[in-house]
Amino acid sequence: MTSRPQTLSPTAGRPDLPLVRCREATRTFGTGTAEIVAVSAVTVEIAPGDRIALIGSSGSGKSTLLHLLAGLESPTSGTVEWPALPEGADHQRPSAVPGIAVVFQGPSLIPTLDVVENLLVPMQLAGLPTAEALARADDALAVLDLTDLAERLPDELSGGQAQRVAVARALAARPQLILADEPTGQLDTTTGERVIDALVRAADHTEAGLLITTHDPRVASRMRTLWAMHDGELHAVQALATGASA
Amino acid sequence: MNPGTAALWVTGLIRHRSPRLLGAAAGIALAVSLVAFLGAFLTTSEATMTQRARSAVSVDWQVQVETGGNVEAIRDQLAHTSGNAAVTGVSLGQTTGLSSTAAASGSTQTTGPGVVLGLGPDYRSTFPDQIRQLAGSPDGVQVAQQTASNLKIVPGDHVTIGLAGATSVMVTVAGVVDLPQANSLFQRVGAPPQSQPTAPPDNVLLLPQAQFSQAFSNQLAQVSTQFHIRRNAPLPTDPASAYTLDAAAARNVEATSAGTALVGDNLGAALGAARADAAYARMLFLFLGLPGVILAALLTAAVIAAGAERRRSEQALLRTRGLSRRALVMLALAETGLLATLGSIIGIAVAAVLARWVLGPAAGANTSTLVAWSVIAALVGVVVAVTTTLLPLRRDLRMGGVLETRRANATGPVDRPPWWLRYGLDLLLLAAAAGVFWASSGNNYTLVLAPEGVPSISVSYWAFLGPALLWLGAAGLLTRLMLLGLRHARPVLERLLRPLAGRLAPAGAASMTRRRPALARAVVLLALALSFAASTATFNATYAQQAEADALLTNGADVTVTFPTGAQPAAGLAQKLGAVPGVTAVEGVQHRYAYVGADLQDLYGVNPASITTVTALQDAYFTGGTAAQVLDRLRVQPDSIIVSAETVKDYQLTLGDTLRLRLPTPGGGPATTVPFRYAGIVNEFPTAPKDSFFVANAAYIAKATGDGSVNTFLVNTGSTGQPAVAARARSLVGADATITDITATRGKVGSSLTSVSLGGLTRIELGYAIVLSVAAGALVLGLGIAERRRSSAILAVLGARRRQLSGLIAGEGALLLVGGILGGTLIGGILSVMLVKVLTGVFDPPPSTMAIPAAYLLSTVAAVAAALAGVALLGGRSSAQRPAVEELREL
Repeated sequence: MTSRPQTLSPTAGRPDLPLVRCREATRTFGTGTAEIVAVSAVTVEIAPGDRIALIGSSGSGKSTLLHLLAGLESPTSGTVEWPALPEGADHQRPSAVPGIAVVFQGPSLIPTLDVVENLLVPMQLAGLPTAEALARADDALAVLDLTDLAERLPDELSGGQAQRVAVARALAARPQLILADEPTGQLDTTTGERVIDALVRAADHTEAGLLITTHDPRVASRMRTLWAMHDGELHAVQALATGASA
Repeated sequence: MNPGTAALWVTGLIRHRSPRLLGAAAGIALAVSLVAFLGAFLTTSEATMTQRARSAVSVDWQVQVETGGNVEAIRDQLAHTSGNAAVTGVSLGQTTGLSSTAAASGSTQTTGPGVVLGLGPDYRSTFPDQIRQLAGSPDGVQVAQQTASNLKIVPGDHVTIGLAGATSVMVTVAGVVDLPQANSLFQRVGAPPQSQPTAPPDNVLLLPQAQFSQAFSNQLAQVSTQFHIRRNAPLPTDPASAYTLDAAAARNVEATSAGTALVGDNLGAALGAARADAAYARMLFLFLGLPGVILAALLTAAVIAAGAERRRSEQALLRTRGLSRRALVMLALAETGLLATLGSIIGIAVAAVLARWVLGPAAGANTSTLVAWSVIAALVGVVVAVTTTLLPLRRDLRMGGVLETRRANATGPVDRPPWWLRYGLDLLLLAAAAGVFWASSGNNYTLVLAPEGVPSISVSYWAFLGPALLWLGAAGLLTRLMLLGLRHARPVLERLLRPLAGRLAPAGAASMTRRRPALARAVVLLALALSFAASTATFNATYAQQAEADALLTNGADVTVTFPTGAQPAAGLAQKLGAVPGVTAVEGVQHRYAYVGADLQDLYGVNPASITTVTALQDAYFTGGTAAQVLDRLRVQPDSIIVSAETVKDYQLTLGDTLRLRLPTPGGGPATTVPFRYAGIVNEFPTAPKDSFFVANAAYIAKATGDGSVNTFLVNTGSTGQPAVAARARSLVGADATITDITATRGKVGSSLTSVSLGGLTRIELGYAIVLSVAAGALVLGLGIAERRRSSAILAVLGARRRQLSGLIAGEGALLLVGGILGGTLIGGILSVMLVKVLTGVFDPPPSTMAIPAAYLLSTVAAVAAALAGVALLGGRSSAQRPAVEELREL
């Protein structure tokens, strides 16, 4: 991608505020002897424009941390705030904080809606006028080269296409933060790379922050910052040598 | 594949798929229990019909000794015939007329020809229902009630018996009797039905045998002999088999006597009527029960189809791991066996409880037949289980590989309609239904034909085709309309959903449009269930309406006070009866006799303006006009008279002809000739006998004869409290009149079909109809919610509020309810008309209008609506119980 993306983020004038701030956030499941600590006292921040890879083995707590950052779940202790997102404090679960788009690992398209209709759903729920929502959907499909698939149903898409449509849905909502949970986990290498390209392109388009959970080092190498989790604890945060763009 | 693998598979199903298994087993149990219960009902009903037929007959056989027959030899033969419990001789002599002279006034009354019976001393004890003592002593000469009225005699008076070619004989009357079985007592033994006398003789005298022999000593050649027989041969419980056995025994007697004895088989006649009723009971079972079984099977199929995708995926996985097709079939057989066994056991147990509750101890009387029905019901369960489990597997295995199975799981485009829709099969079926119905409901149509003397009965099974084709065609048409509507009505759906689902309405409408095949199937299933409820309830209500009309026809009104003909009730009695608590109206009716030619018939004088305040007159009671039209004729033209069809035929009457009747004066004296104008035909009338009779304007009769006295009072109590009102009336009139109330009459009238516990059957059928309707609605909505858990979780994550998601479910539930009610009402209405017409032989009298059970129908709709609301509420709550991400993680 060579053109400079439009600056669409509402925090463009206030780059100092983090998109999300997590302080000593802990998330446990179950009680007593059956208690499982999925995330343990994590303190992190994500700023606009960040490109973060969150790596760890299966069961390390990556997805749970992502859910906490998205506002999909509440921490058992500690705090998660969204200083740069005005609606973060009052948002109602189980939906994500407005301004944050989540891309899931598994199929996340509504099977009875076609591609365009799937893209429209979050914008309609946010109250966007239909004409503007359609325009954004068209833009998102164009950015990700998915225009030809506009009227297809999810069952008519390959796994990679479906994931790219999920990314397009995230892009159409013009989020300030994109959180992708193992977006290439069920895809082959080539398709996975195309999905990562789509994610990065989407984030660049809106100058949004991007966090991808993965256990694939090749995916991680595309990001600029690396977080590593193990047994629910964040062990390392480091800048990577290269953070590739699409 | 070793059996251990199948056992392991079944164990896994029980542990991890128990909700789906239980749902499918419940559907099978519904079908099985309905079949088993209806079978038990049928068996018990037929036994009741046979029993009732036996007990309704006083004299089982009347054996006529033909001319030249040896009376003693025949008596001996009959005494030794197997199954004859009692054989009693009866002599019949003819009299040229009876006469008597009143001691007080000296006036002589004379009758026309009559019959004199000679009865042995043990006759009345052997056949107690043949003769009912009304007055005087049972020992000695008895005179029939009508004869006593004609001769104006009471016990103690003398009667002279005129004998042709011999000296008249005078006897002293000891008592007055009623002959309840007069029609069969005076039958022409051996003659076909059309040659039987239209009415028993009006003039009858009963003499002790010794006195009879003395009186007819010079007339022995004119005396005929009958043997009246009570049978105790064991008969099968099924009326048709009982009829065949009894008829064969009767024919055997005739054959053995070389034609010198002819058997009047009263028992056979009663069993013949009962076998026709039994055939109708079986028709009711098929018409009203079979749709319920099919619905239960469809529900089971819906439950099993809900797990089809997962099952196909499991099978695909097993095939990739090397399991052969044969092994897959074995596993499916294991599952089928489990479902069939579970469903059958539960179904038969439920049926046993219901049968015990509805039919009482009689339910277990015929064990072997009940066992047979249980086996049939279990087989039905097996068929349902096989159809819903094995057939889909067979289809899937034919597909070939795993990839094809995956493609079959895809929702895919829905634009291509099913093949039957493209070829218009639904419209063809509806046209065929109309054609079959038109052909099978013509003027000479009879569903059940049971000719007298013919062992076998014929049932027009093809009449079933009409309702069956209507059901199929209507289901297809409704599917077509739903698919069409949902395809093109997306903007309307969105507008309708907006108040419920808010900003989720556009996605909801788009989703419903794409899911139109599943939604159409759901609406059709609910519509069929509601139509089953509506048609069953309407038929049963109409049946009850006609049974009540029959009782009203026999009793006249809720309570009827009848004085003997010629008696003068106390002045002001009508007002006194009207003042009894619970009475809403009282109407006096004149009941007199009138001669047309030499024929004496009953004459009823009514007030056409007010008769309907106390009794209901059905259009079927008259020919050539409705009840309202005929009453209007009597009112507008007071000299009008309506007569029986036989009178019209005998006297070649045309409308407007003058008919002069001679009305005997009740107080004695010469008869009065009164001219009437023939105005129509009456087939039946409240309190009127089955013979020919007249109905005329009471005011005109009173003016023409100078006597306006009424001797029958019809009392309306608003269909409640009849026994209490009857008791109060009894205290007002004493023993001077006969008082009957409709509650007692209900048990006596009607065919043997009404004698069975139709009330219990109705409760069970209507209960099943509600259960099926509620299950159809709640199940399909609930299954749909379960299938879309992932979509709901995704929408929640994307920002949909719980209220919006609940609104989507509510919208779908509303579509289901409205579509189901509209479709069910239309199909149920047409089906009701069809059923009433096809099964018209069940009704007595045939209905002119159907009874619509509004309360039941509204209750059913309310139950379905409540079930849908409950499912929608539960579905909404369960989706909010834990975070959507956990749902996505699990799914």
